[in-house]
Amino acid sequence: MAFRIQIVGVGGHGVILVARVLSQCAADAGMHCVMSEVHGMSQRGGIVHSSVVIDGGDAPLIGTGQADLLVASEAGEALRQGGLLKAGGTLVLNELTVLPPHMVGTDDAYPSVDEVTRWFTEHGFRVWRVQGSRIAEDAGSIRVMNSAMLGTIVKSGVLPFDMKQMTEALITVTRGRLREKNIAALHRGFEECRMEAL
Amino acid sequence: MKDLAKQPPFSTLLLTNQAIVRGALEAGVTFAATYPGTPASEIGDTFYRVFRSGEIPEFRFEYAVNEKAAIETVIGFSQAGHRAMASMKHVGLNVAADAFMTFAYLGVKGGTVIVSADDPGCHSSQNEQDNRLFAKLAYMPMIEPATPQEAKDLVVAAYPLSEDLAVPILLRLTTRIAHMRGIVDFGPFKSRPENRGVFVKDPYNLVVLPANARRLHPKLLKKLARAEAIFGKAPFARFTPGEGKVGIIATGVSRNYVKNILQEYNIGAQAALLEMAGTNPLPKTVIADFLAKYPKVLIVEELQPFVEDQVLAIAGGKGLGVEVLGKHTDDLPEVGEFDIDTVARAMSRLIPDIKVGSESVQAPDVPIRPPVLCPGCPHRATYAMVKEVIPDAIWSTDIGCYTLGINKPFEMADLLVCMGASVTAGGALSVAQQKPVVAFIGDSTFFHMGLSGLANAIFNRHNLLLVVLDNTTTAMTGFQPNPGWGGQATIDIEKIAQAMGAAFTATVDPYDTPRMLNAVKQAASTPGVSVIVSKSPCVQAGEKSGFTARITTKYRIERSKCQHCGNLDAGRHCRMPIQRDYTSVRVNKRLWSMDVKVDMPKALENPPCTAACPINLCAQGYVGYVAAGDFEGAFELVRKRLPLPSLCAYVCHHPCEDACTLNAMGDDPVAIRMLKRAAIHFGRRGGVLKPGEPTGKRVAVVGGGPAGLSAASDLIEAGHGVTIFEASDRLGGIPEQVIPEFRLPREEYEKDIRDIVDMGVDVKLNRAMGRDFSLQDLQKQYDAVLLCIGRTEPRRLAGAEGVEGVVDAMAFLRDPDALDLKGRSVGVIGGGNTAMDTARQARRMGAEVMVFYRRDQASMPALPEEVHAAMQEGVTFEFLASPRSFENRNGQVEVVFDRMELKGTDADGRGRPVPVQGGDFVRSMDMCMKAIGERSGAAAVLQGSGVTLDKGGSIQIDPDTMMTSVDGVFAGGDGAMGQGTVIHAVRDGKAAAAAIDAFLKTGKAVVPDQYKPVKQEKTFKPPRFKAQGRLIEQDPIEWEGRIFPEGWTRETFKQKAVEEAGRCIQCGTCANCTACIDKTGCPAIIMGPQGPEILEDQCVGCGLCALVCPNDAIIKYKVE
Repeated sequence: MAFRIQIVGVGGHGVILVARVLSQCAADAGMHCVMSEVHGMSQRGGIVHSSVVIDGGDAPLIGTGQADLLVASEAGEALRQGGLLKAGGTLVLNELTVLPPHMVGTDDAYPSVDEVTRWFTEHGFRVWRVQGSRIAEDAGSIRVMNSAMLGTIVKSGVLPFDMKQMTEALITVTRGRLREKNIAALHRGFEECRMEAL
Repeated sequence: MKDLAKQPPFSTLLLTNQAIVRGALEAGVTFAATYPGTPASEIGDTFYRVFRSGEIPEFRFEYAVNEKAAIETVIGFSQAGHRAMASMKHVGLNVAADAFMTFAYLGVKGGTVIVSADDPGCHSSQNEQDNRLFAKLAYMPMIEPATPQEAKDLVVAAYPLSEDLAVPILLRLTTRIAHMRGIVDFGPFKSRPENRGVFVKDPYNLVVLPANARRLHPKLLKKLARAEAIFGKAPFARFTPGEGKVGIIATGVSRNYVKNILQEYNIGAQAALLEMAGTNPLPKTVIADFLAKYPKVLIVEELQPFVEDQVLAIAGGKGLGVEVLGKHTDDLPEVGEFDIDTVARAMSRLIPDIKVGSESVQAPDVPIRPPVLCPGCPHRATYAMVKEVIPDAIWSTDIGCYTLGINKPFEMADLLVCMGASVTAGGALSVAQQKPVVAFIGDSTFFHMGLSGLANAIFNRHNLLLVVLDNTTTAMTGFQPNPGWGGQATIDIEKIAQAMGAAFTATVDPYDTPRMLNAVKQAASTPGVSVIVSKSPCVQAGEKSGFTARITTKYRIERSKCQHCGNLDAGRHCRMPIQRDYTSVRVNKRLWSMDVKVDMPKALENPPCTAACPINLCAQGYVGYVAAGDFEGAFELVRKRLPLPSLCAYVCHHPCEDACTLNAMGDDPVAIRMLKRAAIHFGRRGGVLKPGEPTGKRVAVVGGGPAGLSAASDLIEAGHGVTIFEASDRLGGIPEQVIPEFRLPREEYEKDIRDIVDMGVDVKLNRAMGRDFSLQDLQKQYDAVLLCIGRTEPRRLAGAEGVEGVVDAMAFLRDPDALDLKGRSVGVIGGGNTAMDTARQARRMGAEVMVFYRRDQASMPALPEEVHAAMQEGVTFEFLASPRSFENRNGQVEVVFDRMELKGTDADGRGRPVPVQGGDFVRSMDMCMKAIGERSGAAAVLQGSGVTLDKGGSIQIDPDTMMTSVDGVFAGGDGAMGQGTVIHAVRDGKAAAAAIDAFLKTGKAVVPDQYKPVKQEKTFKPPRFKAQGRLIEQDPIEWEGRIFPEGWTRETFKQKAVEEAGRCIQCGTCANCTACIDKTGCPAIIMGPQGPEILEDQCVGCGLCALVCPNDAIIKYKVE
């Protein structure tokens, strides 16, 4: 069975790391896996997205309505890529909005976490929400926000990975002093998320 | 990177770019070179780490200064027998094309692969050129992998092939492949060529003289023919048969999409598939066979129809009746990157079972999120400072992060072509047109292609300012070292510029704002080519490349200072919308004041000009708008608080100017009143204030002078109905009736009055209280009454009353033409503005005029400029002269004066005049005009009304309520203890209107705090400061009777006003300010509910926001 996961967010949120850990999980489990990522200019506070395709051939991109799981570190970016989810798909959403800098000081509307959640639930998707920023701050570094989302991904049960596998993959991919904090955030992301569906 | 040196069996997740490196290492590559560029960068970076780890013996890696150097160094190593690899992004091959083309002729000794990573979709590039055409152009064999594993395997296979054919091989990637990660199985390390490290002289084949080149060309064609045969077989071509008559030929990443779709729909058997990994030369026989079996084919390849054209040629050449779908049939686009949906849609033309996106939902639009310069990016500081000095240059920019300067707030990118073009194209622009041109180039880009460009600009005498944005790394591609930093040798950019002969050079830290601003200023004023190296390290580089970048300080916004205005709490805030240009003026002042080391009384709670104004009109505000050239904004700010702008712009005694901070700094005050005139002249529009929601209440205002009119404006804005009763036949009061036209052009004053009347005032002219109606009548009909009756009765002068030839100055001014003064002598008694008006009016009518005043010149209540003007016009003055008696003798008025001296002080602080014993003297004149002031005529008109008057006959009011002794009856202006100036009358009218509004809405009359005097803080020592003097209104006479002096045009006036307004040092805080957002655009600053906020986790402590903050509200703090 193939699993297609789209991970989206804003430059600096650690989107690529989430994708790398998921890919590592798949590789460790002996599954075939390809992943696509963006580099360079796109990362300067712009949109970052990455696809992970497990046991689904070598196409590194995900077509409209193909994704089993959408993981978003930012609410607006989740909405932007909402069309990728297949019917009944799942969104793992970090409760955060980041206003694009050009909108700062303007009155233009930008979607809120609740509005985004509503859109997904109204369209029949399941939404798992996690307060990654708070968890990361508690863990001691805002940069481990992404690990909280990994915990929520495990909790959502969409992927055939348990916490042990995820922890091992996280250890393989991360380095240095953030590793401990990453693991702490991973566990809290698993424990402190909540599911919303209509 | 330890893993990359591992022996098999081993498999790991690798990026294709990393897999290529592993392939190269397995193949025995001993030299690699690159110039970084997305999407190829990770190839070089991985090689670099391998090189530094020392795990692969005898391996050498070089970051080349550009792609041409990369290929040329690879040529050197290949000719010395080494297996080598050069990698670059697609446009890098343009730079290297010269070497690339001829390299194919020369051929290789050690096998060589050149990697070109194309960027369909322009993820990170200036174009999406299809470099497969380069392979064709150069007759170079080309391979195109589709997965990381295949990339590694093809690289391993390419080296023996390259050596076998004796030709370099082009490995062509696209972004999607380069940045794809997958599991890669490692293979064994191959043995390296034994003759490596030896260069065998062979000029016959290695020196491409024309004769040799002619011979090498057909030889190359033969090599390519051999490649064609090899590319027809695995691993370069893979064939999957199908059951039907349709087939698909796919290359590159498209192969993955096609296979995904076939698998997804479980329709693999319906179409045959020919996957091409060797794409130049295409194996013609294999393709012809495929076409013969499957006469309807779809060609799936990104960008140009490279394969498709050749398939069409093969089909045509063989006379095959096949249908070829692809770009020529519009089934696939020739631009952009493919995705699964695009390919599926095209495939549905062959296989109708494919339905694209039928079950998906459409997500709503979300606002765009373009990339921005990082928080703390030093380019931000450079851009902000350069723009501060040269706001409107043409910006010639280059390839790098700094291209993002195109975004707000900088918008400093007007031309971008390719690496290095900022210098050359910008240099040409500098002589091709008139505007100044500033070129921006990064340090790495400068070494890449800027060096020769700089030589070109200097040699050809261009007139360019080149700013090298030296962040000591190659930031956008991943922080690679460059010749300016981090390599074996460090090359000083400024010294290069000096050696080349640049007219001006400097190396400056852009956060050292005074030096940076001055450098830019000097460079901009130096003809020829100037080079500023703006040097400050990339904030990301430290962290990413493992160097220390620990943040020890950050910044926060002190709420009590940010967006603060001394008028805010008191309700006097101008409520003007945030205005970027005005912000610029404030920031500019601040930055430049740092430059001249002015220890400004920064962030005064309330600018002194505003505090000094009886209505607290924010002069700093409208002067700022004028300085920004926004006259409409200036006028709007003025009119919102001041109902009679023209009246004040012409005759106000301008306490604001007397309070101006510049006075204390040894300079002339800003010509605030004249700038108000400019704001009115260029920015006036009606209807700035609108009538408020009707309250149903009606207010009678008695007297249509400045106080009454001002009250009417504010009352209507508050929603009340207003009727003005005016005794004379026109509105405007005393100024309208007596101030000479040369001081107050009536046309201008009338515009003020019309604007107020147009708000909906009911005006009743020729209706005098005490004659046509009584106060009691009004009290019956109106909810409140406001008495602004002024002072109408001339003050009596002992001994002068009834003497023929003695006239009242006000009567004279009301109707000067009633007298013929030509050649006659006129004495004027008094020292106020009325005396000056009288003297100057009489002088203009041809009289000899002498003014008699009982104190000295310094004690005159008249405006000094009026006294000065009178003197200039020939009016003579007799100071310290007080009239004792008047007599008309034979038609001449003889006045006996006491000579006075000043002894002690009066209650108002002026010297007390006392007669000097025996100092009396006599003066004869044809006419004596007394201008000693007026008193209230209230007693007559308010008889029996119950309104209490003071000893002087003025209406007595409670200053806290503006109410008289009679409930609901208010008073203000000169008739009610007023101070006798226009602006005080306006203040009284407004204060009374506010009190009446409160009275009508709450039953309790209160004058709000905003009309109480402001205590002025003054806590600064006059700093070192270069006084400039006024740029406008040096001579008041020039300005009289006209809007601006004779000989000026509107444009002169406008320009001078902007310049004069620019002298304001903006010493007070401003609540409209969003400078930190507007001037830096830093993504760490957001607009919170109470004003700008700095996101703690985003701030890297660069401090640019604190440098620009005119309110001194951004404060540094230490972090652990």
